[in-house]
Amino acid sequence: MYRKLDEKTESTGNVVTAAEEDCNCNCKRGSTENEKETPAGNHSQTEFANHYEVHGSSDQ
Amino acid sequence: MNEKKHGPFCHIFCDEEDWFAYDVNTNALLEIEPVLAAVLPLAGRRDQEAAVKQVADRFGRDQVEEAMASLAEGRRVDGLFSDHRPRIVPPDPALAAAGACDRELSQLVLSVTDRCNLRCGYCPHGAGLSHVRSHGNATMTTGTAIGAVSYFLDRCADRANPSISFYGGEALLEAELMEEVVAFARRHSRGPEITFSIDTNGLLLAESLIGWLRREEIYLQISLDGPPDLHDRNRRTAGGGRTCERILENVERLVRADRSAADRLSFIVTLTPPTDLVAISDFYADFPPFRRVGIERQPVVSVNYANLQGLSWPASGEDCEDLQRQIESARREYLSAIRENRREGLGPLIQALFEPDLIRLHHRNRSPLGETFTTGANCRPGRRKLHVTVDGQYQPCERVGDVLSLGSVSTGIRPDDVGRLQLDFHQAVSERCRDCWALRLCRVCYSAQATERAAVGSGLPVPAATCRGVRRRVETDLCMMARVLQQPKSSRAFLDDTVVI
Repeated sequence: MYRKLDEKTESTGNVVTAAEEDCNCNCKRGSTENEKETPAGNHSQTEFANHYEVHGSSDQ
Repeated sequence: MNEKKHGPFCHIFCDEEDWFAYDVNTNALLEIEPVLAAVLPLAGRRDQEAAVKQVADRFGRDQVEEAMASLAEGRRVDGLFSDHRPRIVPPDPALAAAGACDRELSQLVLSVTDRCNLRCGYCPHGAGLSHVRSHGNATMTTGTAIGAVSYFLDRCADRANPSISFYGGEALLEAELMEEVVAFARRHSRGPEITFSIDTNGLLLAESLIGWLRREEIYLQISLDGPPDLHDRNRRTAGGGRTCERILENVERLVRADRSAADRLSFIVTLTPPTDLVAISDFYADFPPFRRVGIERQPVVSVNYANLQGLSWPASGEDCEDLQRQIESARREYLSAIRENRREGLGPLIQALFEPDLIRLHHRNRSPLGETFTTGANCRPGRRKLHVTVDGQYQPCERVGDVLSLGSVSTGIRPDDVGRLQLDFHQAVSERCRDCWALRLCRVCYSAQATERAAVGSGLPVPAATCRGVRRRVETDLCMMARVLQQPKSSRAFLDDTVVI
């Protein structure tokens, strides 16, 4: 009836204590091997409130 | 007080014919049968029996019973489908105490000028918004810059990769000031080598700067929206002149003089409707300045969605829908490439559209959700990153408009301001967060409060639309992640070779 899609188990931080590692900020980029040496850039724009939502439809 | 809501703390979503569940307590992503998708929201409801009967009419009683048994087993064996909701608590005041919130920094962002030689159609600084500084003539003084850098140097010595970045306005209008700052920081740094980067539109990338950029190994993030017809649609000089060809010439001259500069270049594409993703993708896949110089590596590209809120924008609803269709098409292309082991051939734009989010999700925290949760964990003001405005105000980052302040070059980071900011944010969102399935993956941060000026004496609100938008975004990311995880392990092994920095 269900299947776990990824089994990675190691913890990268502690959600409960608001650890820095849990920062979801867009400036903490997910980077490929090719980009590891490139420092995090600045934001040019905010990622919020796009007038042209390009994403899913769900809400609660 | 939080009241426990009955029912699994999960988000169920569908993509085409497939159903998925995101389990908040374990941060797990699951592929589920349609009948389980129908049953999960009913678990724990007061009218569960009647609701289950309705589902049974659709799926058959045997199927429903099997789903209920699977739900129970998931709870028992895998710790899934728990009803647990954390208690939302304000940040620990100790985090905002002197010595905690003003001692460790990794990145300093200096807005060296408000001046800009461009007037881009989507730029919030040219839109006359009350909460965003406008283009002006203010420029950071050397004293302010040196004061901020000294403060930073006192706090970055123990950090692994400290960096100082220059921002604007157009930072290259203040090349001399940047040279002074770099020289000062090099001279006085007591920790690991500092990396420097400049955000620029690339128009003033003069030949005279090339030697300095090479000598100091300075990284450049250049705003370049694609080929000339697309880039020049929005990115024009104050006089309305085109800019793309001149930027491309400048980039070519730079890498011709110093091939190693290509490794320190990145490009940021701001998407606005109407646009043509295929044209932008082709442009970067065969990037003219690199091709002409014989540089084989592909440029590093990141994608930005312009925030058009408050701007008068000519895009029609049809243009917006068209962009959505293009992104969906790119998504299909990306997934096909993953499936067929040809990800490397996708080109940097398509990868940039999806991979940063996939990588962040791949590295998400898998520890169980605790009894309490603090919103605003997405940022610790005064830690890690500090933005300095032209007049020397300290801010959590460069995205918070004119509204939020943490102190100044003359006062340093003020713990009271940090504490107030944390508490304001908590009060703005905590009611909304306590039953929100996206709370562990949420990106709503202090910058969401920088949307208007609050009435005197009241806290800054976070618009409900921001939360809705972020939830949609998170669901899209989860959906993409689920699709990638359905592919053979070998074709998604690249995720293990990534980092979040």
